[in-house]
Amino acid sequence: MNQKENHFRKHHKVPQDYFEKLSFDEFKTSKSRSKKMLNVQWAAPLFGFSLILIIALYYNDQSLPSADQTIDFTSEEFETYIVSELSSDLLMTEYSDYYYDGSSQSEIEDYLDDEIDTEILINQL
Amino acid sequence: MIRESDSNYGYSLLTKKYSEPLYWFIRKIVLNHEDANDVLQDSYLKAFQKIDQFEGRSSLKTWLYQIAYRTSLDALKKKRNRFFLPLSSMSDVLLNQLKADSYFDADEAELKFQQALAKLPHRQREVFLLVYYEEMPLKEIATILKITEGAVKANSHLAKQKLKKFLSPD
Repeated sequence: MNQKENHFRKHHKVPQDYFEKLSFDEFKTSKSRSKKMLNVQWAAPLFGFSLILIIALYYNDQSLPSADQTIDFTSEEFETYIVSELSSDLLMTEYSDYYYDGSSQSEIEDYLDDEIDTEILINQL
Repeated sequence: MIRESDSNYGYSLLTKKYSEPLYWFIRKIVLNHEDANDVLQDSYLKAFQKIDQFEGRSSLKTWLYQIAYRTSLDALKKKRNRFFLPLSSMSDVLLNQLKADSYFDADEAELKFQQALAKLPHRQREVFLLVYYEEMPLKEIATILKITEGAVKANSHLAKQKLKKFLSPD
């Protein structure tokens, strides 16, 4: 070993008995960290996609009022809200001529008795 | 016919003989122990898998150095991609890792020398490492780096000039 190499090794150390412990058995199957780790080249795009998904879900959730929030809509806005957010099946019974699902007349009448009266709801606001 | 026990014995001899010089060669390129250890393992794995392709056109040592060199460069490229950096910024990453490496026994002169080396373009740096530390013949360096002997001379000359400039007091 030359002097320059010696100088390098003096300042760049290795764990105790490192070279004594190196053996063929250890090299037969690679145990390097790079093989164990998640391929980080995919990690960044994956992280970005997850972040966008979380933000999208968060704002999607924010667009719906929570149970304890006061709904401060105008009548027109409320109707739009009802149409877009409430179960379409419920509203479709009103237009059962167009969306007839095979229910009998009495079934439809029973159902309409229980139906949310949009007018009453609007007046209550 | 070579029995498995014979080939295992051969591999054991190979690792025993070359692990230390290969490790130190790799360590000078990647500059920290953990990466050098990984690259050494990956280099041997490649060598064992491709031993049938060794045609004996160069010495076994040169062939192993060639694999270790390529594997070291791949490791640096992966690191560069991880940090989304151009190759020119790689020297800062390497030096930061060197400073953080618990196996680097900080010495101002050595740190300054490694800083100067890291600033060299990668080809000049690798030629210099093999000329300066390994004292390898030009022909062997040319084989390992897959360049001409003339290119080895030119890169070595440029590296020395730049190092002088980097290390000069002003």
